Amino acid sequence: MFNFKVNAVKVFIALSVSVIVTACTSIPTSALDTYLSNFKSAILTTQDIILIAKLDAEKSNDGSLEQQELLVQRIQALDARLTAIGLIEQYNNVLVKLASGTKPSDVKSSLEGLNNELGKFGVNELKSLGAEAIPYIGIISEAVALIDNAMKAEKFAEAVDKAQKPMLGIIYILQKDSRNLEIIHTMHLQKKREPELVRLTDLGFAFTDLANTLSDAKNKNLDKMIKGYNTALSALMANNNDRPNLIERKPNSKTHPANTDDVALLQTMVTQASAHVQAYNQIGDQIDAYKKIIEEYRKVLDATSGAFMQLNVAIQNKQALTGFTFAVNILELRKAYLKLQEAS
Amino acid sequence: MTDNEIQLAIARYNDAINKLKLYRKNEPDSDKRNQATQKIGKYQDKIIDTAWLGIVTQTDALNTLLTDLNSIITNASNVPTLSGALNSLNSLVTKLSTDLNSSAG
Repeated sequence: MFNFKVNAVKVFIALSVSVIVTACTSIPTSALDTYLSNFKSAILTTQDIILIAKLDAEKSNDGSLEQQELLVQRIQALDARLTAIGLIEQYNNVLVKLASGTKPSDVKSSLEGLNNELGKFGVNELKSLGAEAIPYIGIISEAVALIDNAMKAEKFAEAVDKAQKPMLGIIYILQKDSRNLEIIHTMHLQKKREPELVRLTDLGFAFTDLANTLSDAKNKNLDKMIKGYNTALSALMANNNDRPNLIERKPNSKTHPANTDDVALLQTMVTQASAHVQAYNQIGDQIDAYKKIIEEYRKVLDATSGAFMQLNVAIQNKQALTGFTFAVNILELRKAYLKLQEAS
Repeated sequence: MTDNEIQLAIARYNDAINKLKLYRKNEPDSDKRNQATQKIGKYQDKIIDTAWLGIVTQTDALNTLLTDLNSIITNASNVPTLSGALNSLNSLVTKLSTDLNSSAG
């Protein structure tokens, strides 16, 4: 009995010293949670944006050898982005695992199990040692958990510190990508709406040509048609370079009074113009929606990189307090041990 | 091509497109308008290709960063813990005890 106590004290002192030596860090859980939550938003948006980019990459492929080679390069580049996101997720899982502390109760169960199993060997010395060890299992479990958690916290701090460069570098590349991906996707959409603009411009010239040959001597609806066309055109959500000119009638020398067929033809053109404006604007809405997604994506990336930097700052700040915290823990453990000695 | 060169090239193509669009909307000759439209399309394709180049050229740098992060993950995943050692010992003793009992039986 006396020998076991002496050995237990030795083990306890050794464990305590090793805790003090190794433990100079603890895990800033709040900063970790903020970072993880930001990254969760970033991962989903990144995946969506990369998926859209893959479809965009396919659109440029006209089947030529050159375009096929470019397609392979582009898809590989996009896959590397997905790998990056997957790897950051894996890294985060490691951080979470390190942040989840060892529970003394788990260690206790393990020690009790070990004690029971040793007793089954039928060796008297082992049985006796096991019986003497039982009162100390709680204390040893606390010490083991303390050391485990200290080691994990050290590894956590090291993992965050060392990952600063690659993590921030990866996020910086994703941020730069976002600008190019925005250009690619919006340009594809602009190409898609370009025919609407071409038809609208052609229609404007045709409308003007016809209107310039007509006079409103017999039909007062001519001005109404021009106003109608210009109203349709003014609904076009376009910049000045894209926006076709408004109709200005400059009657030529060979005008004839507009008849019902002329007015009906002009009316058809107004209807067509309105349809092209609508189609153009719909694609414009898609461009605006994508720009908003990219804008949010950049914000999420900024927040993620900021939160990761903050995590490292939080670790540095906590290090100053941690020595004291661990000293208190060791003191509590020592008190418990002394109480146990008194009781036995 | 550096990142700045890529962005400058895209800005130049955009300028060219804007000039062509301005010309097209005031050009009454439909053939000339068509020619302008074709040129616009080519510049749009060039912008797309240049932006892709911006992404593709970053990939080597990205892969290097991924290798670095991977080695950090590997290192951080291997934390020898006392509780882990206890668990291993427990499993070993349980196995020994079971083997001994079954051979005795």
